[in-house]
This record gives sequence, C-alpha cells and structure tokens, in this order.
Amino acid sequence: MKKQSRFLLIFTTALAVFFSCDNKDPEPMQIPEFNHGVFVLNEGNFTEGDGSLSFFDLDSLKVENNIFEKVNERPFAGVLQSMRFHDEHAYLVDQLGRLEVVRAQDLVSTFSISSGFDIPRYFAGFQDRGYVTDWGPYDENFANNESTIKVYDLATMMPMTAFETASRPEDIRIVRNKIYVANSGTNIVSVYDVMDNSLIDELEVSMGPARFILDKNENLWVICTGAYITTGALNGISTESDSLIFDLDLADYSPGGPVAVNGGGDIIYFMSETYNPDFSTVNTVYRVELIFNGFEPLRVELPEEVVSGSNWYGIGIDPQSDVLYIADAAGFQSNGSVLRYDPAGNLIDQFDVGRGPRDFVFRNE
Amino acid sequence: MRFGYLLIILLCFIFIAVRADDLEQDTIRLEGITITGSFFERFSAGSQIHAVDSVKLLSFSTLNLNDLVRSEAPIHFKSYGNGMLTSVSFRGTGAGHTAVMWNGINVNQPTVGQTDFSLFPVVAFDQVKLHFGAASSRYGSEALGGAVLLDSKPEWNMNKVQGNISAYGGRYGHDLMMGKTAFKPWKNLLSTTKFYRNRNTNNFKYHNITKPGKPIEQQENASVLQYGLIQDLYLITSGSSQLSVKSWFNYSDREIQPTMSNTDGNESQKDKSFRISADYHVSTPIGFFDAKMGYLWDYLMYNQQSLITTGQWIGQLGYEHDLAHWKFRVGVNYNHIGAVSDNYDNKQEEDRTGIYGGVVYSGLGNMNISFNFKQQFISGFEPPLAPSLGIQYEIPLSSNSRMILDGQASLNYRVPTLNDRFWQPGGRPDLKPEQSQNVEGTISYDLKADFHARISLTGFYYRVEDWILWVPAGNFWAPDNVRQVNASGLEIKSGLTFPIGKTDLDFNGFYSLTHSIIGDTGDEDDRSEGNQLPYTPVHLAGMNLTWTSNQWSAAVYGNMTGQAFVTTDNQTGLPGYFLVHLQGSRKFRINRQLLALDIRIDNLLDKDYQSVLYRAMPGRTYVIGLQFYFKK
Repeated sequence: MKKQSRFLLIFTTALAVFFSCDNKDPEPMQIPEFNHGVFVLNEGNFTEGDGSLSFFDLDSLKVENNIFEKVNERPFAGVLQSMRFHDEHAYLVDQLGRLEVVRAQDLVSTFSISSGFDIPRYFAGFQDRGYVTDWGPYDENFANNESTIKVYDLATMMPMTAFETASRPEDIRIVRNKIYVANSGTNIVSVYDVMDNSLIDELEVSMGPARFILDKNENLWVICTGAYITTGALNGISTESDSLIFDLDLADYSPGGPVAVNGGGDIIYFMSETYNPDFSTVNTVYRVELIFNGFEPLRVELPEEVVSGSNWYGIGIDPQSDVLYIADAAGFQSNGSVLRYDPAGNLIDQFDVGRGPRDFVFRNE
Repeated sequence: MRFGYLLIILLCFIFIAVRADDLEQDTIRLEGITITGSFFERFSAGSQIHAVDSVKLLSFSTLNLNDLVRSEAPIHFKSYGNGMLTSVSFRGTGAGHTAVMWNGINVNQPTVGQTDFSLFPVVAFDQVKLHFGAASSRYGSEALGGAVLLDSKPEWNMNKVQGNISAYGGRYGHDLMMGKTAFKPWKNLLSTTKFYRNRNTNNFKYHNITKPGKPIEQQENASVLQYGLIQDLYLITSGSSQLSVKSWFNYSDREIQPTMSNTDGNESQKDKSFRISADYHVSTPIGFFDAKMGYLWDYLMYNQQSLITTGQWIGQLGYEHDLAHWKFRVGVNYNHIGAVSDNYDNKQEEDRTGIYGGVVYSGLGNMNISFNFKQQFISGFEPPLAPSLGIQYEIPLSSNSRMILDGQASLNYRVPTLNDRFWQPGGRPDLKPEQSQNVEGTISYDLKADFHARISLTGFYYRVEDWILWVPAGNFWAPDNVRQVNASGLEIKSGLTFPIGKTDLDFNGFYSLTHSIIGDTGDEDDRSEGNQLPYTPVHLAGMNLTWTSNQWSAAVYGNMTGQAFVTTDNQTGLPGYFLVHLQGSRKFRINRQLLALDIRIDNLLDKDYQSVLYRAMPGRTYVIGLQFYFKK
C-alpha cells in the first residue's frame, strides 16, 4: 500500500518535471522612425484576424515585421484592409470593423474606433475630416445594399455623419474637392461634393470598380474586376469633367484588383488572376503605358507582361525608383513574402513578412 | 483519520497537477471476438479502441463531448470560444479527418464534412468510444485520423421506472437542467427519454491582449442556448431478435464570439438537427443479420440570413457468420444526401453506395488477424478501395499479467465535402478525394494484482495526399488538392487502479508526440515544406486522478496542450497551456432514492489561454448542482 503511494508520487512528480515549461517574453525593441521605406500591409487570415504591419526600410534595406505590435505592445489583431496617410497620421482599416489611428512618423496609436462599422474598407482624409467606405451588413441574399461612407472629425475622431452609396464601396479618393467612390458591387463610381457630401454624379464604368490610381494629370483610373474574374477593365475618368475618357477592356487579362502607378504617373501596373488546367493560380503583372497629349491620354498601350508567378496577392511601385513590389501571400497558409523586381522585371531580392501581404504604402519624408 | 489521509493525498495531486500536465485513460481491450458492441469493434483486431468509463460519462454530464474526449486521451480540439465551433484532430489530422458515428451512422455534416463538438453534449450519449487511427475500411470516408463512436445503450437491468433529474447553476450566467427516464412496462420493451437544456451567457472576464495595457474586459456576444430531446425505444421481438429506434433532436442558438479586437461583433448562428435510426437484428442458425434505416436532418442559419439545410437517408444491411476459427461479415450501405443552400446553385444531391466486408481469423493460438475492406460508389466520384489488415497477438506473462502486440496497415480516403464542390463562388466539382496510407503498432502491458496497472505505447505513421485546402483565388477563396502531409508519432496511455480500504483510487495518464509534417508543395517559394501543420501541437498530455467511495467522489483532471503554430511557416505560434479541473460530489440516500450534490471547477488555475488565435477563453468557472435519482 505504502509502496504503491510512493510509486505514484514519484511517477507523477516525474511527469510534472517532464512537462513543466517556461514562457519566454518577447524582446522589446527600440521604436524606430518610419520615414523612408515601404509599409507592407499583411491582411491576416479572416477567422483569426492576425493581420499585421511590416516595414521595409529603404535606407538599411531591412524588414521589420509586426511593427504595430512592437510599437504599441498589442497586436493589430484584425484583417488589415488598407492604410492611408493624411496630415500627421496614418489610418489603418480593419475589415472586421475597426479604424486604428497612429502617428505617421512612429506608428504610436492615438485612437482606435471599434464600433459603428460593418465591413469598412478604405479611408480618405480631407482637411479635418476622414471618410471611410463601409459595405454595410449582408442581407439575406449575401448582398450589401446598405453601404455607406462614414465621416469622422479627425480632431476628436467623433463620427459626424454617414451617407449612402452604391453597393460595396471599396476605394475612395478626394480629388478637386470631390469624393470618388468605387462601388465594387455595381458598375458605378459615385462622385460627391466634399463640402456637403451631396451626390454630384454617378459615373458608369465597367462592372466591379475596385481600386483607384491617379495619373500625372490627375485623371483617376479605376481597375474593374468584373463579376467574379471572368471580365475586367481599366477605366480612365477625367476628374475635371467627371466623364469616362478611356475604357480598356481587360477581359483577356482577368484583373484581380491590385493596381499601382509609377512615380512618373504614366505607367499603370495591374495583376491578373488566371488558372492553369490543374487549377493552380497564375498571377501576371502587366504594365499599361499611358501616352499623353496635353492632360488627357491620347492613347493607352496594350498591356505588356512584366513578371508572373503564383499565390501573388498585391503589387506596389516605389514612386522614387519604380521598383516593383509583389506580395506573395502563400495561400494564407504560411506567412507571406515580398519580391522586389526592377522595372525590367529582374528579381532584386525578397524578404519575409506577415500573413497575407496584400498592399504597399510608400513613405518618404 | 481516513478522510484526512485522503485529503493530503488529494492535495499532493493537486500540487503535482499544477506543476505537471499529463494524464489519463485506459484502453479497454476488446474481449476476443464475441458478439458484443458494434461490428466496428468486433472486426477491429489490431486497432486501438478506447471506451470511456460510464461513471466518467455521468460525471461529465454538464459538459460537451470535446471536454470529455480531451480529458480522456491525447486528442486535440480547436475551439473558437467556450461553446463555439469546436473541431477535433486525431493524431495530427485535420478537422474533417474524424468520422463521428452516432449509433453506427456518420453524422458529420455533409456540407463541411466535420462535426462541431460543441453541439454534442455528453449527456446525450450512453456510451462513448474512441477509435484511434485510420479506418476507412469500416467507417468509410473521413476516418483518416480516427473515429468517435457515440451510442445509446439499453439498461434492461431495472424495475419498471427509474430516472434522474439534475439542475445546475454556475459562474458567468451558466445554468443547466437535464433528466432521464427509463420506463419498462413489460419485460421486452424499454423506453428511454432524455432531455437537456444548457444556457450560458459566457460573459466572462479576460485580459484583452489586443488592447493597450491588456485591460480586463467582459466577453460580449458569446451566449449559448442549447436544448435537446432523446427518445430511444427497444423491443425484444423474440429470444434472438431485437428492434430499436433511437432519435435525437438538438437545438442550439449561439451568438458567435468575435475576436478580441472586434468587441462590436453581433453575429449569430442557429443549429437544429434531428437524427433517427431504426435497427433490427436477428440471430439465426445460418448467421446474424442486421438492418438499419436512418434519417438525418441538419439546419444551420447564419446571422438569420444564410440558411443551409441537409437531409440524408441511410440504409444498411449486414450479415455475419462464425465458422470454426473464422468470423465473416459482409454488408451494403446506401446514403442519399440532399442539400439546399443559398450558396449552391441548385439543390445538390448525392448518392453513396458502399459494399464492405470483414474477416477475423483466430486459429493461430493467441493471434487474431482481421481484414476489412470498403468500396464506396459516390455520384461523380470514384473513391479508392479502402482495405485494412490488423493483427493482435497476446502473450501471457504470468497468471495475472499479459502483454499484447497490435498492428495495423490500411489505405483510407476522404471525399470532398459538398461545400468543397458546390459552394459559389469557389467550389470545384472535380476535386480529387484525399488519400492516405497508415501503419501503426502498439505494445501494451496489463497487470491485475490487488491493483490493476496497464500501460501501452503506440507508434504510428501516415501519409495524406491531395489534402484539400481553401486558398485565395482572386476575389474569393477556392479549394484545391494542394497539400501532402507525412505524420508520425507516439502515444502513451497508462492507468493504475488500486483500492484504499473500501474506496478506489484511479490514476490515468496519457501523452502524445505528433509530428505532422507538410510535404512537397511543388512550389519552391513555399515556406511550408518540412513544417508542422498549423494548430497541431507536437505535445499533448493529461492526467486524471479519481477517488471514489460510497458517498464521496473527487477528481482532478490536468490537461496540457503544447505550443501550436498558426501558420505553416511555423513563424507565428500560439502558446501552450495547462488546465486543471476539479470535481467533487457527495451522495445522500433518502429512503430508496438518491440525492447528490455535485460541484465542478474548470480552469482552476484561472489560466489565460486561446485555442484559436485572439479568441478569448474563460478563466476559472464553476457549476454546482443537485442530482436526484429515483426508481420504482
């Protein structure tokens, strides 16, 4: 009896020792300034919300991952959809329903708004006001017919108002005192007056307008992804006359959404999504050259292939060097990586980032 | 005096449990090949099947099946919150790689090919068994990692009426009620009725690690309401035949717990299911026949908007015969699935017909050899043949001890789920079935003196090809046969039971080491190759200590879940955690009836942990309740 108890004690104690483990604290880091480099937006996996921010320093050519967490001692913990700078701050939008405001130079958090959103997407700032596109709730048919633009007072971060827009607003840009909204659930780019949020115009574009870029003459170009991936187009909009000035059919190129423009503002890059017969994805980055005559483009060259690969999820162009950045999301199964190509399509280098890299934001202060 | 002695021992164990982690479980070995249990067991010589002790089942009646299984064996669960979506992983396989058999019918939802264990309260079952390792030759598709066998069981040994009713209340707005009545109007007819109702506000406090300063916050939008009714009827139609009808209705209305950073979440999910199974079996001079008919209905409403319903008809026929040292079985089964979803283009229908057979040969002394196969025919698919070969060899060492060697090799598969094929957008009707090859071997030792000690060591290896994953495909996600996984591991299970005076002390410990390694992905930039699968801890361990006397019982359960990775490059980790649960009860006899006071404390150490990244789990909680047993 006694023997058995002792045996049991020894046995369990041995197990205890065997399985005890200690936790390691993460090493603190010195807060650097993020003035010359590129922010890599790692979307994160939807069910886990493990989105994060990386920074590739263009002076040291080194990447620092999880910088939001390192600076603010908490993870971003969301699905990072977009990041935009305005005045002294950067605005990070979490698809799960949050807007994080951080100081531009060092990313120190100043505000975090986590109520009032359904599916927020992109931010645009104008003077002391901030605009956030929000898909609104899904209805019974999985449509979003209550989409809005939410307006915030950037001094207090208090909500000011919200106004309706067409279904699934994605990108938002403010040009010439007008708010342009790409309503991806429709074929409409809405134009609002920034003074009173009144609707000025609804421009008919191709199906599925998603992301904007501005060319060197302030023409707004919108990449349209079509319904699913079967069609697509690149549409040019004159922000002076609010009219469609170019419609480049990209049905043969299946644009997936990512779009970027070079520093000179006359070459647009977009990325296609196609499949091999075995269903593996093929992503090709194309460049489209805009030939200008005065302010409006005279013609648009046919897309020209730059590079291709698979599992690519986003692109960016360094406006200073025209270096092409490609986000490889690795199917969201592992953390992703970034590939850098020179304008001729030669690989420069690559580095590892967080989970699901989707976009790049360049900063040079 | 005796009580003080026991208290000291108990405290020692609590202390040990605090430092340690590990425990549990006894492998109850199949007693030869007599007609007991289901055919799954009778033809599984060489496999590891573990039955959960019925007393333990009772003491876990306030919990869900995942809590029970996790405290019983090294099986991992991934949980999106307390009472939220919870999926199982046997031996490092995926959530869809376990067959969950309710009274012999696979009840995994055909839309997702898996079971949410939070929807399975322990109280709904009379018998729970765990089959370790792949066994498509018996369970069909999905049994790549193992199977959970859930059964109703008649209690013929009773008078006219008996039953029990319990009520519990606990921390964070938790209350439960459950009851069971068995009624035997005649010698050959038995009716069992059970009900349960579980309400949990889940407004627990936790450290929100995603907010500045990691403030303590109250969990919102995580309440759970669940109730259900079970009605079983058993009729002995003659000395050699029996008819039984078993049915189960379950209702669950849950808010979906958001991630920590999204405290504004307001999503919800309603699940309803109705399952019925009618069985007839008869023993004749030319053999044993059995027939089964079943119907399963599942309803899932997401956010009061998106509805998926499925209905399944099941029919099975089996014939079994013993001939000298041989035991044979052949059978056919048929399953018709219909599914309606807003995300499918049309109503999707599928027919699955299967033929299967099994042989056990016991003519070689202490050796049993089993061979099983199953061939299914599925609309639009050609699943491969699934054979398995098992050997069991028993070596008597002395009059009271023995050693047993088990081995098994098998080919297995999993067909793509309805969502994999038909979900719009993304679904791909031409996906291939996942296939796996498995081998395993076990050595066990069993000693029965004035105490009973047993220990077993299992080694396993398997390989899964064409593993299906959903990956981004432009504006949406789509499934693909992308992954290959090579897994190997060890399982140790040990148990020790010994009497102390008129009481029993029971110790169980278990441990598993699992390396589920991602193989060649064919993409040289891929950083997954050679890494551990996400959400698959390398180490799992547990330890149970139970003390029972006539009036008192006390148990301590310790569970260690090792570190897991969130991503396949193994760069992002989720820390391991060690949880301790305590349980105690005191019985009072009132005339012929019995009253018991029962208390359970979960997460005694108030450990902050996450099973899925950024989903909070409750700290220390308790429930306290009264159970009243009556009989006439």
